[in-house]
Amino acid sequence: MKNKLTEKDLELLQVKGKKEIDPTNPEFAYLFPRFDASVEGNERDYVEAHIFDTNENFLESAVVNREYIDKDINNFIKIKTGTFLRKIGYDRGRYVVKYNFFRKMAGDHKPILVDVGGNIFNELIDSGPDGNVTIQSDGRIFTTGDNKKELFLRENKYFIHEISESRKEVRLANQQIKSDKYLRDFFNLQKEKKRIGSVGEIDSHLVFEAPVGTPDATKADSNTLVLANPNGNEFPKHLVGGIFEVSNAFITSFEPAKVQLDDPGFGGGPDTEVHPEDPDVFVPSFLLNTDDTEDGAIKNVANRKFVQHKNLIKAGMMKNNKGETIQIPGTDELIEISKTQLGDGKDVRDFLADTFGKYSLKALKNYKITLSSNSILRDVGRKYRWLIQGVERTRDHETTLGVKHSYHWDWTRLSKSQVLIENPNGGTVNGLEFTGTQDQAKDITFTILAKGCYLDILLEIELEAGERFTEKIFLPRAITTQAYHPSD
Amino acid sequence: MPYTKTELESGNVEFYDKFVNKLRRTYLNKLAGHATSSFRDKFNVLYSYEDINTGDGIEDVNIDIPTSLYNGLMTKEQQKKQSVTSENEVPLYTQEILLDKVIDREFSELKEVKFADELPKGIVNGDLLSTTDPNDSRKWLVENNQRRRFADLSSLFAGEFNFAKFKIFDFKIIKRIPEGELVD
Repeated sequence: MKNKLTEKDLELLQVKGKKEIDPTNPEFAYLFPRFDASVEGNERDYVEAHIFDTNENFLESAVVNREYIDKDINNFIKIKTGTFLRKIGYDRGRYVVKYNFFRKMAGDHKPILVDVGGNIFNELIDSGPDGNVTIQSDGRIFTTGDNKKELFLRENKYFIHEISESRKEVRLANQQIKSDKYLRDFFNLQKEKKRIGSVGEIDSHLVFEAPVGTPDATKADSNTLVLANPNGNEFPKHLVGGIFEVSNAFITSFEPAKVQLDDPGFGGGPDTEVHPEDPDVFVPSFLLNTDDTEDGAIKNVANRKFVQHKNLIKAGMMKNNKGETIQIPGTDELIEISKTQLGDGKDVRDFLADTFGKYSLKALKNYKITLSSNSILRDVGRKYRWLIQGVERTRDHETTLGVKHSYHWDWTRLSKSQVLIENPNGGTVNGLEFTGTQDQAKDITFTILAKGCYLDILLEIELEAGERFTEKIFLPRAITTQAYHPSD
Repeated sequence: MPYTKTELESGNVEFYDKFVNKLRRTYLNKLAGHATSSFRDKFNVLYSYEDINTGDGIEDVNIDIPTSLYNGLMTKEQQKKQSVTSENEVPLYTQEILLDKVIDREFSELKEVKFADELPKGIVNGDLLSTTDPNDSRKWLVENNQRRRFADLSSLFAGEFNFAKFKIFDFKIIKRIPEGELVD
């Protein structure tokens, strides 16, 4: 094996006289696990071949397929040179082949696909007729399906950001690739100490093992850790001498940020706005304010907190009567969908009717209704923006000689002629939009003036720290005047 | 009419069989001859032979079965010599201070080390800093008139730092302190 150090430096730096290396000695940690680029070997190890003609003119380089590499009992690496060369097209002739034995510390020789946001496309690539990607004639790559995204081929490497004047130093930088491994490997390159974490994956899941031979001993008395998956990665030898750290060991339970519907008992949020100790918790929500809503205005008051609406959004899917799964889009997409209910938007109307429409508050026209924010948020100044959008359905009769004989439904976008918003405490009403400060617009009071209206309601709250602290909740088909009659 | 390929390979065309067998014999004799010298010449150049059946190398051909073309032409040990073996392990180098003495690994051109002449008001060495932006999870240790960033929160929690020294400042103020190396 040739060495790129000068003979003088090699003399100084090479450790000699150690036939058997102590694998637990941290000084030699970089050697373990031993190099093994075979099929069963270390995933990070690989052999690169440089192929030259007999005059040592470089022809090409290639990575040796793992199938052509074996490791024998002496840890020697054997490469099936003849098969390897023939497979890449060198079936006759005389060549000089130089092998480099590499261990990937960061990046890879295989390129990756990323989307415009730098997220790695991790699926197995299939560009067939029913595959998950399509490659256009101009070379552009797109995902298939409803959410088409353009993908870009990137080298899974780091680029040279700067070379010093003497050309002895280089600064490397990472590409805009959002991958924890890509970034962390790069970071670890320059660290002398490496932190190895167990993130609870099947291969790295650690559990305490109850002491053996001690009656009544439990896991709590244990100082022995075992890997939960016996076939997972073993503890590498070079961990000996390291530090074991149990993050958050003092935490006995953890209450995640409350999404108003996480807890079934939470029932659609608190009765009024609340201000948690954790300033980062910010969950927008609203409910029907029964105190300020006219008696009899709402038939199914039990749904006043819109629990089912919120659960649908949280679950992101539901089963219909046929047992088929219906996907529920995210808030922003729902807002856009709601705008496409007119005319040919029958599919959208059907979708909303089959999902959120099943749980709408049934209201009477010409009654005052008040909705109030019951959000969980920081107690700072804030602005509220309510937006009502939706449609009114009216029957349009067809007549012949003044006799009605058939009809069809007309759908018109809601406007202030169908929904009248009041602003008793100030704030600004602009059509079906109502904005104001906490005192002015924490509640919204309105009257639905027509029968057959379907109201989709948005509440957006902006904390005084700026737009970055804006959150919203959008409930399609929150209220309808379609299915409730005074005689009911 | 000329023979088809299938007809030629059927074993019923005598002249073709003779022709092929002669070529094979020559080839296999040559292979057997090289096997005795571990498939290498005096300059240690490897002679790689092709498997007649697959077109690959002969590293994996079965030489034990009597019907094998290679049966009796080479031993298992000789066959192993068709592979290239790296018999040297990765050399061991000292990772101690001597390494840095022999090889200059310090950056001098691309790295400029700066220290604050004076720390911003309210900040002293030993402080732990965080920004006022709740979405910004970066934390720093002020040391030697530099701010040293914690690579991640576990680095912070794993260290024995006095959390009472945590202070929150706008990043514009924190940025006035020159950045040092990451906290290990």
